[in-house]
Amino acid sequence: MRVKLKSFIFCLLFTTLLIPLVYAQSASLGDILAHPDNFIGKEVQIEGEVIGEPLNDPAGVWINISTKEQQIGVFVDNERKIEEITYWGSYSTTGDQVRVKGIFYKECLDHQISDIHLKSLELLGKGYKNEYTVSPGKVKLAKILSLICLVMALIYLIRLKYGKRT
Amino acid sequence: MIISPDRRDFSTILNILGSLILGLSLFMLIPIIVAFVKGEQAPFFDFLIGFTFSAILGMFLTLVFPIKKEVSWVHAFFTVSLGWLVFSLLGAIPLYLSAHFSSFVDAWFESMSGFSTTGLTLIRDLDHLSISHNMWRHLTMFIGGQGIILASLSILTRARSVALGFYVGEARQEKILPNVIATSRFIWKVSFVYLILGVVTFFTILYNQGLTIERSFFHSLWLFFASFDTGGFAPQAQNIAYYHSFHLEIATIVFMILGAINFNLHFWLWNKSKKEIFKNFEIRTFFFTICSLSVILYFSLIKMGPAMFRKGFYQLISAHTGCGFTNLAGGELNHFPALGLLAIIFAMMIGGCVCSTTGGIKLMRLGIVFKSFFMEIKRWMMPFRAVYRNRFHHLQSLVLSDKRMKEAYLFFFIFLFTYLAGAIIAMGFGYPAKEALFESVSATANVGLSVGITSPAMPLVLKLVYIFQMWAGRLEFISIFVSVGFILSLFRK
Repeated sequence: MRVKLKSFIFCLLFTTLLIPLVYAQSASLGDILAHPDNFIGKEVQIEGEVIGEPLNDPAGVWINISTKEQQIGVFVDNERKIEEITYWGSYSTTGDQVRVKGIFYKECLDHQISDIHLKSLELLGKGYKNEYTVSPGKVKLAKILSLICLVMALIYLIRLKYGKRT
Repeated sequence: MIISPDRRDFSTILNILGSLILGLSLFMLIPIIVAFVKGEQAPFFDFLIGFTFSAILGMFLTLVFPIKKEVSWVHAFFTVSLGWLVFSLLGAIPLYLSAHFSSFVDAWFESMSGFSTTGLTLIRDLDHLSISHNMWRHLTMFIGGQGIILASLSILTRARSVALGFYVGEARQEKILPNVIATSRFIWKVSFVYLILGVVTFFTILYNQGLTIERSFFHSLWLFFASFDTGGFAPQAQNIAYYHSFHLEIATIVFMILGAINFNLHFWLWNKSKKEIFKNFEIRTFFFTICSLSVILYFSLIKMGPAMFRKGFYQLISAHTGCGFTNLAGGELNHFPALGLLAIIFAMMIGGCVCSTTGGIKLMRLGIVFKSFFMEIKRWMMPFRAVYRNRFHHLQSLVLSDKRMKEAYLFFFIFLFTYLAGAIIAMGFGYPAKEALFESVSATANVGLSVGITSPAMPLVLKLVYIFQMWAGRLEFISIFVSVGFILSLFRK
C-alpha cells in the first residue's frame, strides 16, 4: 500500500514538473517585454488582435499582434498557419482575436530584433467591420460653426476689398 | 532701453497672429478632403469643426485688431512664441474629437509634439486611428518642420519687412538667399523634391512588403513627413518595428540624415560645390560625434551580437538626427545597458545641424564649444604676445570670433539647464534619474524616443512640463525669452 502511495506521489510530482515543459508559458505580452530575459528561447503564449496586414519576408510572413498595451511581430514560416485570419485590425475593421504559441527571441539571430516565431495559431474570435456613428451634437456644432464661418468670411472679404478705401 | 508695449503693439501682434491662424486653417483642408474622399464621416466632422473654429478665430483677430504699428522684431518674436502655442491648441481640436485621447491636454501634447517635430505620443489605440487623423498628425510635423510661420508667410505674407524676425524667431540662424521669403520658398522647394524622392522610395519598399497600393501611398507619405522633418510619428503603434523591413530602416536612415542637414548645405550642394560636404564643419562634427557614440554603443551592446547593429545603431541615428523613429518592441530601450542609453542621451542632446528641422544643442554649437576649448589650450601654450586666430569652414572660411563662441556657449548652457530641469521635475514625481533624464532630453531636443515615462497615465504637471520643453526647444528659447520680457515690461510702467 505504502509503495503504491509513494509511486502515486512520485507520478504526481513528475507530472507537475513536466507541465511547464509540455505547455507554453502563458504570460502577458507586457510581462514578456518587461522581463525578456526570463523568456529567451522559451515557448510563450500570447493573446491579442491581429493588426494591419501580413507582411512579406524572404523566409515567410510577419503578422503583428496587439494586446491593449503592447504589440509584437510574430514570424510565420508557413503562410498556411495563418489561413484562418480574415479580419486585420485597422480603422475600418477590428481584427481577429488570436492565441499565438511560439518561441520568443530577444535578439533573434535571423531577424536581429525581438520577436516570436510562430508554432501554432488559434482563432479565439472573429473580427468585424467597425461601424462609427457621428454624435448629433458634433454635427450640430459643425453646422453652427460653418454658418458663422461663412458670415465671417463674407465680412472678411468685403473688408479686404473695400477696407483700405474707407 | 526696453520699449514698453501698449495696446497698439498687442493689436498689431493679434492681427498678424490672425493671418497666421488663417494659414493654419488652410492646412486643415487637407485632412478634410481625405476624410471626405475616404468616407470617414466622424473624422470629417472633427476636422470641419477644427477648420471652421480656426478660420473664425483667424478672421476675428484680423478684423477686430488692425495693424496699428510698424511691425518690429519684438512683434515677430512675440507672434512666433504665441503662434506656436495657439497653433498646437487649434491643431489639438480634431485630435481630441477623435476620441483617441484621454483628455484635451493629451491631444494638445500630441499636437505640440507634431508641430515641434518631437514624436512623443499619448495616443491610445493608434492602430485603429482614421486615415484623415493620421494625415493630420503627420502633416503637423511637415508644417512644423518647415516652419509654420514661414509657411504662412510665404503663402499670404504682408509682413515681409520683418520676415527675418519671424525666421530667426523660429530658430533658424542662417539665411540661404538674401531675401527671407525666397529662403523660405527654397526650403519648401527642396522639401518637395525630397518629398517625391522619399514617397517613391518608401512606396516601392512598402508595396513589396505586402501593403496595398493605397496603404503604401499613405504610409510612404507619412513616413517621409516623419523622417525628413525628423518628427518620429508613425501610423502604427509599433512605429518602424511594424514593417519588419530592413530596407525601410535603411531608407529612413537616409531621409533622417537628409532632414538633419543644414538647408544651407543642401542649397550649396545643389547649386554650388559638392565638395562642401567633405569640408563642412558641421558635417565633420557629425561624423566625429556619430563615430564616437557608435564606439560607446558598440562596447555597451556587444553582448547582443549582430542584433546590436539593427537595434543599437538605428536608435543612435534616430536620436542624433532628432527623429525618434524606433524599431524596438515596447519598453525595450529600458533594457539597454546604462552606457548604451547614455550614448543615446548624448546623441539626443546634440541633435543635427543648425537651420534644419532637428532640435537640441546642434552640431555647429557643439563644434564651436570644443574648438574654443582646444583654442584656449593652444593659446596657453603660445608665447604671451602671440595673436592666435582659429578658423573653421562652414560654406566659407569663418573666424571663430568671441561673438560666435558666446552665442554657442549660451545655447549650450540653456539647453543643458532645460534638460536637467525637466529631469529633476520628473524625478520629483518618483521616476528614476536615468529615465527622467532620457525623457526630458527627448522632449527638449524634439526627438521623441521614450523609455516609457510618456504615457496617458503620467502626471498632468509632467505632461505640461514636456509641452513647455517641446515648445521652448523647438523655438530655441530666444523668442520665448523676448516674449516674457515683452510681457514683464508691461508691469514696469
